[in-house]
Amino acid sequence: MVLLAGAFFGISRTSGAGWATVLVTGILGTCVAGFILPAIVLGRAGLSVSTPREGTVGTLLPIEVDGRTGVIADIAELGSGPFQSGKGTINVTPSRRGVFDQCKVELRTSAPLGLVVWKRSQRVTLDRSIEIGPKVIASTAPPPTARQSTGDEDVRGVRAYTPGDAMRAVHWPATARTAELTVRQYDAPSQPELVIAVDLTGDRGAAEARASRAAGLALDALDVGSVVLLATSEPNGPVTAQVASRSEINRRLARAIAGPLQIAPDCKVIEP
Amino acid sequence: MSTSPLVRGIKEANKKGPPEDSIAVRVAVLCAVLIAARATLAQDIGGPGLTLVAFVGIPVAFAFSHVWRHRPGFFVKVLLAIGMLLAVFHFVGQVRGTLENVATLQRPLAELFLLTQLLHSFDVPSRRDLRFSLVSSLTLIGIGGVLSISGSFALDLTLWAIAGLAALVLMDRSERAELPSPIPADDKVSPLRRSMLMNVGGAALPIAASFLAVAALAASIFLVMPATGTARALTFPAELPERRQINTEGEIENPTLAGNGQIDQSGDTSNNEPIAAYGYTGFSKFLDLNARGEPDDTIVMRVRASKPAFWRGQSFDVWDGRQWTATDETPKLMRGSPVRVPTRDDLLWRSGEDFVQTFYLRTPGPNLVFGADQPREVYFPDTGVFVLSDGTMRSAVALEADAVYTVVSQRASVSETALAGWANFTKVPTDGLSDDEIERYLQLPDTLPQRVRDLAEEVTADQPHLIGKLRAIEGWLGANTEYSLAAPRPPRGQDGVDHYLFESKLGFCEQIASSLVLMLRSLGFPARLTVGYTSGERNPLTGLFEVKASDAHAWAEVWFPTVGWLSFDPTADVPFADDGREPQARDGLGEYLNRRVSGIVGPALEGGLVVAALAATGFIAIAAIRVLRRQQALRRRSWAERWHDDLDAAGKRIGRPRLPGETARDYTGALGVTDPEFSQALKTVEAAAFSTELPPEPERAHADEALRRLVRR
Repeated sequence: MVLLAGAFFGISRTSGAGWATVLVTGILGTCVAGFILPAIVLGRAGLSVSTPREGTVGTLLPIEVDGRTGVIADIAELGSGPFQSGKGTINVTPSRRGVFDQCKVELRTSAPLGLVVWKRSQRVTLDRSIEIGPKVIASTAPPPTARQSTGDEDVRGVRAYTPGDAMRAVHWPATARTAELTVRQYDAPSQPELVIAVDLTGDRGAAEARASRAAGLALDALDVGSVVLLATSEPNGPVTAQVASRSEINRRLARAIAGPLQIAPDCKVIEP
Repeated sequence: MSTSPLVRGIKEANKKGPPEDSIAVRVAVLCAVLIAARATLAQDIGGPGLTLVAFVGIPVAFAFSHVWRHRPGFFVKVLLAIGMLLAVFHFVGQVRGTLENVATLQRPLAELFLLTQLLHSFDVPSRRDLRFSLVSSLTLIGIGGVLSISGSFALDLTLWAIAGLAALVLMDRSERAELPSPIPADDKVSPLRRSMLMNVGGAALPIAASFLAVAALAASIFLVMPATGTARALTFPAELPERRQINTEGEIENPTLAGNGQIDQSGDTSNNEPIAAYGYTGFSKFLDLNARGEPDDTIVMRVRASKPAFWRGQSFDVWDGRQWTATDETPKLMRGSPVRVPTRDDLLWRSGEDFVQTFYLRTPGPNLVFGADQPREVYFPDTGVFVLSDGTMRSAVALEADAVYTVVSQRASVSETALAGWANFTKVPTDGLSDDEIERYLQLPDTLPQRVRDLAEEVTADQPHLIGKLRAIEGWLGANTEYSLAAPRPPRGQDGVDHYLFESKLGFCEQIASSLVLMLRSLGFPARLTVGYTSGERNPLTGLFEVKASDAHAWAEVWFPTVGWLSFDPTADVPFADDGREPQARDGLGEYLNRRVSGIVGPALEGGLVVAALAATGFIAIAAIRVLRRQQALRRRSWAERWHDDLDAAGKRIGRPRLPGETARDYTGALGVTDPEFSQALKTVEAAAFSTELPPEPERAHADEALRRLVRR
């Protein structure tokens, strides 16, 4: 456009055409507006991000965004890819495990004329932390248990079914009698059945793979009714604690970092 | 090998990209192209055939491009290449044999570009191609602007600017619409429809804002731009709408006067009255100072020139006490393309720069070829021009409306300061003139009263040199006489100049200039009366001087040895060639706007008030309708729906809007509500929502109360 303006300027000077001068000023005005207006739009742009409490690597996660229209945003840290800024829900696919209090947002715009692109990055504080757990890699072997099932567990009684109970624990005779789903109630084991130690030291890629396999292993173990403990290292120190749901596994592994682990000496430990 | 950012940028800009699906973008670009085509065709480009082809063909081509956008375009490109070759052959056929004047190429080139635009419109599948179309429409509108000489082009330019900016805004929005967008919480629009709406909805404000920003910036830049110049002109337009021979002897012909500019054998000039409102009696063989008439404000011609000047028509040499007569009866026919006007070789103060003026006649007029003084070349649309010894040029053909010719002058390189210093080099006042010229330009009638000569002596007594004497006479006239178009006629037998100077003291340009000429002649300085037009009002947009009939004027030309004939006039600023600063594009803008704005401010204010009142009424009506519709919608919603609406509003206020598909129970759980009473309220609402019977009023009231408590919390 600048070249065209120069050409028309030359034409106006050699032909005496006044309208060519007007056209030159219009072209230059458009170039200046195309340069300045996106900077103004970007200067007034911002983006607030509201996330759920947790998510998983590779799984769609809806987040709330509230930003200025006309701007393209990218929250690469949360795996969003470029999207139009606005107000509403956007689906992102987290690509990194971890706990996020802030995220880096890149804003860019060429609005309204689309001639010049301005870019800017800013760190946005999330209204609450989001814990992104690792992608679950299913284990290929049956989950190990510290105690094999012999069918001689101490059955303390029966109770009503609660969501999460293993189907194998359903007491069908009692269920038929009461017309309500009933499960066996076992004596609590005197010690944990399975401890999964998640060592994230060493190569970063291998460590993430270990975290993913740990998640798969823990889920499989829970599915067969084992009591599962995760031994991880967190910023405040090593933590070994029971996990009873997918959500707890996700959150524990999201917080896990490379560091020393704490395992009871009398536990039979299987490292994934 | 890494490439530079500039090369990468160019490659990125030229990447073909996916097909453009947005119809809105195509319509905006199409509008810009059609407006540009119209602006070009309005300059007498092509004929009805080309107009029809353009206005039918281009929209059809755009529609074809849209339909064909996803398919390979190889065969289309082959056909377009063949079409382009045919267009080029047609162009070559048009311009063969007309290459001596670049101006003759303008219209065929414009036609060729229009055909190129038409062919290109068949192959614009992607956004990049549409951008190319937009740029080519810019070139088309530029062609229209270069050829246009009237202010009416402003409307085309404004409409094209709006369409072009709209296209840019919509293209930018279309590019963004390819990306995912946030889904609002209450959105019921499908993603496809949302994508279409993103291209158009809400674009009006950015388009309007862009237009205002560009207009403001362009106006600011315009104020500092240099004026258009024709010093290095490449084109010298010359056209005749119709060639009609009117004489072969070079006599003056003026169809706007009753006597056609001639005089009958009896010498009675009373039949020289104007018969057209824009006629001027001075463009004839005689100039009778007793004649009264006031040419109106009809625009008689537009002049393209880099600086203002007086547009000289002819001069008169013999005064008889009442009228001036041009006595030169020997016009010489000068042929050529361009016609080379004989110039004096002994003039030293000659500017090195050519002063190019192009005259666009708007009304039929005298066969005088107007131009600034010292014409050197004339590009005239006929075989030749008659030239008289005083530099007057006349055509042998009628000069009708839409006739165009170009004059190149080489003016004396003088300024007021230079002339003051010229006195040190002065020679005898008549040096450089022939005996015949001396006789004619020092002529004074015997009937001229002595007091006129005495007055000249008295006024200039303390001025040793010509320029000083000249200014002294001008000063005396300005101080002792008044300008008036209602100057009284002198009594029969009295010299007109004498009557003006000593009795009426009222006069207009003819009396004033005549007085100056006669007083200088009485002092021995050759001078002559010249008639023509003042420069006219400069149109800052077109760059042309708009010369009205009322700009007809008479002034004095005074001989300066080694310099030539210079124009002087106490009633108007006669610009010297070297006077003043470099012209700016904004010159004359204030006066131009003032004249036009003052004529439209009143009606515009009235109209503006009416529009504002209508707009306010409209807004109020729309707002009232919206409120009524919302209330009707609310009334139609069921109790359960309203309960859910209130719950959603409460959650939104605390920053946790309901996610799509989230039930009320899940939602309140996410909000941390564990109150058993609220659980009961939820059951009531769910029953109301999914059953055919409304729960009893106490239960509904209980549910409402529970929600109110929640909201308060």
